[in-house]
Amino acid sequence: MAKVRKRKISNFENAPIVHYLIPKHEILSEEEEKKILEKYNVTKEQLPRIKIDDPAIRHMNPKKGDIIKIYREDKHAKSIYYRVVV
Amino acid sequence: MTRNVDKDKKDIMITPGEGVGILTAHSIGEPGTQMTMRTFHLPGVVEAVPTGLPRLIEIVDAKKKPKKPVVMIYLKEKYKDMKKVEEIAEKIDEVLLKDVAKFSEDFRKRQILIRIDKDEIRQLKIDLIGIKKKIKAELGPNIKMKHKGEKVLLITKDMPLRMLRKFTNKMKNLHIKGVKGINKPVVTKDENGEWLIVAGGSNLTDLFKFEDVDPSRSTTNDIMEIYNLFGIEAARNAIVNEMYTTMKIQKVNVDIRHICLLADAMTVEGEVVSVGRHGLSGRKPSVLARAAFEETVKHLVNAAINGEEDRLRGVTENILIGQPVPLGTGLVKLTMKHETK
Repeated sequence: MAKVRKRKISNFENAPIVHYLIPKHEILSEEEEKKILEKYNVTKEQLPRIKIDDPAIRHMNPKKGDIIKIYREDKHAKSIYYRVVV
Repeated sequence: MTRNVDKDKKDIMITPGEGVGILTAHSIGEPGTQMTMRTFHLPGVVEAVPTGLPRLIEIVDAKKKPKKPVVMIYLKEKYKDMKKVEEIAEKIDEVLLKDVAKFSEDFRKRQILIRIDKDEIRQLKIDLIGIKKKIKAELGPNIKMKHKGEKVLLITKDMPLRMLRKFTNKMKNLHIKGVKGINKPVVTKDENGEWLIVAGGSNLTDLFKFEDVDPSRSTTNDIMEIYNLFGIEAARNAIVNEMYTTMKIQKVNVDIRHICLLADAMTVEGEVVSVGRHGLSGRKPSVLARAAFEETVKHLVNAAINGEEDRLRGVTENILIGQPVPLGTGLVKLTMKHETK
C-alpha cells in the first residue's frame, strides 16, 4: 500500500553531468575496496562521505556503502580521493 | 642526482602527526587580518561583488545565497564577433513588467491602469500582444481586463485596498522576457581572449535551457547552487577556486594546499558545512571539544541528559584535562610485547 515516492526526473537524471568542476568519479569493486581499507588502515565510517543522490554519481546508481574513487585535479597536483556513499 | 631529488622530496613531505589543521588556520588567518585593513572600502569604486575578507567570510560560512551572485556564461560556439554575443546577452536579460510599463492605481474605482512604454518595447524587441497575453494569464477570477493600444485597464470587483496594492506589486514583477533572476549582463573577454557574458543573479538551471550556453564551462559564484547542481566534489573545487581568486586579487599569497584542506574539511560530510558553531565545530564527536568552543553550558547539559561519552581522542579534550595531546610525538603510543617464558 505504501506509495513509493518518486523523485523528480530531470533531463540530466540518467546521463552524467559534464562540467569542468566535476572530477571523474568511479565506483570501486569489492576487492579494490578491501585493498584501500587495508592500505589506509581505516573503516568505511572513517572515510569522507558523499550523498547517495549526489548529482555527480546519480547516473551510476550507487548503493549505500559503496566507495567512490575520485580523480582530483587540483592546481598544484593530481590526487586520488575516496568517499563513502551514505 | 636522483638521490638529491629523493632527499628534497622527503624534506618537502610533511611529517606524520603534524598539526596541519592548525597550520592551515594560521596561514589563512594571519593574512586575513591584513586584508581587513586594506579592503573594507575602496575609495571611488562601486562595491559590486564582495571581495576580500567579507567574501572569504561568506564562503567559510557556507551562506545559502551570496550577497551578489554572479554568473559567468560561456558559449558553445567561440564567436569572434562581439555583436552575436551581445545578442545572446540581450536574450538572457530578465525584463519585468515594471521595466516597460508605468502603473497607476485608482483606489476609488478599484482599478489599475498599466501604460506600456512603446519605445522601450521596440528597443527590447518585445511583442505588445504577448505582454497582454501574459497579463491576462495572471488575472484572478474577479478581475476584468480592458485594453486599447498601449493602455491596459484592470477592473476589480470591490477588492480590498490592501489586496489591490498586493496585486499591483505582483503585476509589477511579472516576468516578461529572459531568464529569471538574471540582470545586467555584460559582455567581456576572459584571459584567453574568449567572449563571455558576466551577469548578476544566479540561475544556472534555467540558463542551461538556452542552446547557445555551454553547460560544461559556465559557472557561478554561488557555491550552494553548484553543490545542488553538480555535487559535493564540484562544490569543493568551487570553494578552492573562489577562495584562491579572492586572495589572489588581494595579493595575499596563501599556499593552495591550505585552502584545499579547508575545503576538504568543509565537505567531508557529503554536504557543504560552515566553519563554526553550526557547522564543523558544532558537529565534533567529542563533548568536551564542543563545550570548549562555544555554548559551553548547552553542550554540557545536553551531554548529561543524553549520557554522552567522551573517548578523549582529540586535541582540545586532552589539553583540557592536562594530558599530552595526540599530535606529533604525542601521537605515538608504545606497547610492549609481554612475553612469558
